[in-house]
Amino acid sequence: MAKNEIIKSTTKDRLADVFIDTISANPEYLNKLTDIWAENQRLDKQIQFLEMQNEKQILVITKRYEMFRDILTAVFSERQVALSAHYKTLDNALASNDKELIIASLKGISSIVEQNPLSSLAEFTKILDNENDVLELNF
Amino acid sequence: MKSKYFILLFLIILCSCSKKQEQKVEPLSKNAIEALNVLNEKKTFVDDASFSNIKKRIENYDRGGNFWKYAVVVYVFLMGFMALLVSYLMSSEERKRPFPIWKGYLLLFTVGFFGIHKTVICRWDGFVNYILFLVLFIFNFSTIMIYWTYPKLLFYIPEYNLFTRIIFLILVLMLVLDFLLIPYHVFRYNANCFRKNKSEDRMLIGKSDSYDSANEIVNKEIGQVNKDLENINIYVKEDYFIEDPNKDKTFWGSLTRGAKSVITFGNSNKLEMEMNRLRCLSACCDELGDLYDSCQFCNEELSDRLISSRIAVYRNLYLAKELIGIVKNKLSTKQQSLLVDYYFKCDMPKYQMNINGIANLDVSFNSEVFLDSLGSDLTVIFDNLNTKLENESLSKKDFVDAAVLTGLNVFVNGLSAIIDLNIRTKEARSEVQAQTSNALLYIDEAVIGIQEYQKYILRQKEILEALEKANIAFIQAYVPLREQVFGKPTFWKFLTGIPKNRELFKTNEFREDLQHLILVCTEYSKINQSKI
Repeated sequence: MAKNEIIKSTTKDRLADVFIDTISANPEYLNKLTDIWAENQRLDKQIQFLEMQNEKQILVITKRYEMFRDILTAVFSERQVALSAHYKTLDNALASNDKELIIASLKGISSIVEQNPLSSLAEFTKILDNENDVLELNF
Repeated sequence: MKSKYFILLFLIILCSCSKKQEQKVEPLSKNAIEALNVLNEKKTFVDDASFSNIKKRIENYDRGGNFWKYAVVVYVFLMGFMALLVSYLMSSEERKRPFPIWKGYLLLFTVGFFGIHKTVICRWDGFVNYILFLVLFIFNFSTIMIYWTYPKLLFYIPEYNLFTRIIFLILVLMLVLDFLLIPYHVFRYNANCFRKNKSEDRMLIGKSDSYDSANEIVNKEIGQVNKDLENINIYVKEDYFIEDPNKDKTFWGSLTRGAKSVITFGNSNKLEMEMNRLRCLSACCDELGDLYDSCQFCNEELSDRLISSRIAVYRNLYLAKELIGIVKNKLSTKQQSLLVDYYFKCDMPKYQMNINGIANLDVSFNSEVFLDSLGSDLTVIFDNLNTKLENESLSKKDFVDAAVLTGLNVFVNGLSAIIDLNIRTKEARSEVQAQTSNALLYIDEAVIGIQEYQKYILRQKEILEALEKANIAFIQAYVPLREQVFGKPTFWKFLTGIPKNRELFKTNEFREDLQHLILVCTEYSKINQSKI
């Protein structure tokens, strides 16, 4: 029994000895481990940074798209509604040869089409995109 | 061996001799004989050396292949026909200004023989001129070839047969008549083509082919673009992904993925999800490329139609002024100018990654390196044991040492392989994130570009629609007045001109119509001033 215990403790000792011998014979193992740890930390930070950047980018893309889409729809659909009404009047006036109504609807069309929605829209989006510009509200 | 060469040489000589024997002097064709006769008649004007040179060239030409012999005829026929057809088709196109008489004369003097001076002003009899010219050309081809070979002979008129003379006379007569009648032809052309809108009949009943087709294109293309763009926005905004189509879905595949995920502390799983996400974004990029093309196509189509509409407005306002100018001599008008619109063009951003490329970013356990490294370590351990066995100094302690060392090596190599897998997985994750960033950058630029296109497309459509409606109103106001003022373009009207002080101009009805035309033109011009 005592012999067995002596052998057991000797095996443990051997394992420790071999391990210490290996490490002391190859000190670059420790350096390698520290390098790996540092690389691991660097990669973690890089991934975290990229993840955050991408999330922010997604937010910017979707917000910008939705804002522009809503503005474009609002501006053009409002104009289209008014223009469609004029076109309908014009068609009826042309069919009945009502000269006064023809001129009135043409005037209505020209007054809308003359105003370029793109110039004001371009200015508005420029103000929104530039952080230093001030958006003036009249209410 | 030498005898073989002699036989071969003999055969070659035999073949060459037999070939020479086969070559027979082919008789000349009737045309070539005729051409040589003509040349013989002119022999007195040509020196001997030139005569034999020309004769040789004519003979060579005549004995050449049929295709090359008549290539000139085919070429002249095709080119002439194409030129006539194109000019005839172009004659019905919308013009900005009336066709000037000087241009008619210029065409008559330059390409009158081909009849192009007529087809340009929408006269089909230009083809008759061309046919007569072609007949003359074909029937005198031999003579022309002599002139081509020796241009000096052009100064000596040969004797032509009666048929050629008649054709030539008709052609010359037609050209002389055209010379006298060009102003009338131009007058008729301007009355029938320039003053009349191409789709006037449909406009008089309130229809516009041009706008209807433009509207159809915009509704179809832009409607689809809007729908797809909205979908892409959802895919980008919410965490949509596309799974790897080659994913191993077997039990073993799931087990491997699970083990990989455990030893990489979940990084492998994250990498897979990020790759799936990148796959989805990459698909969005591809889709955006197609949407970009659709927008570009739509923009180009509308831009072309807008250019045509602007030209039509220019012409229509010119016509209105011309008509009013007949009724009233003194007019104060604005200088007309053709509005040239801003053409929006946005270059497509570049994107390199595709779904297949994403598969290369995947990372797996490098078992080869692990086994190689472990194998080399075990070799060293067993070599040591072997050396000790040879020296007969092997003890139990050495076995224990070897076993411990083996276990340690397995542990160290396994650990380093796991660490390597971890590092590579993280590197791959970093790469996937960088690729995702690139894809997002592309999506951002592409979406901005597409929305810019949409903006200009909607504005162009708006102007185009307004112009077309005003165009219909103009045609309905102008056509009845044109019929009254200009009437039909008869020869008498051409000679006497359009009467100015007519009783018609003093009637209330006419004046009301004229005033209406002026008001329509004012609004028409205002709409035309709308810029993109």
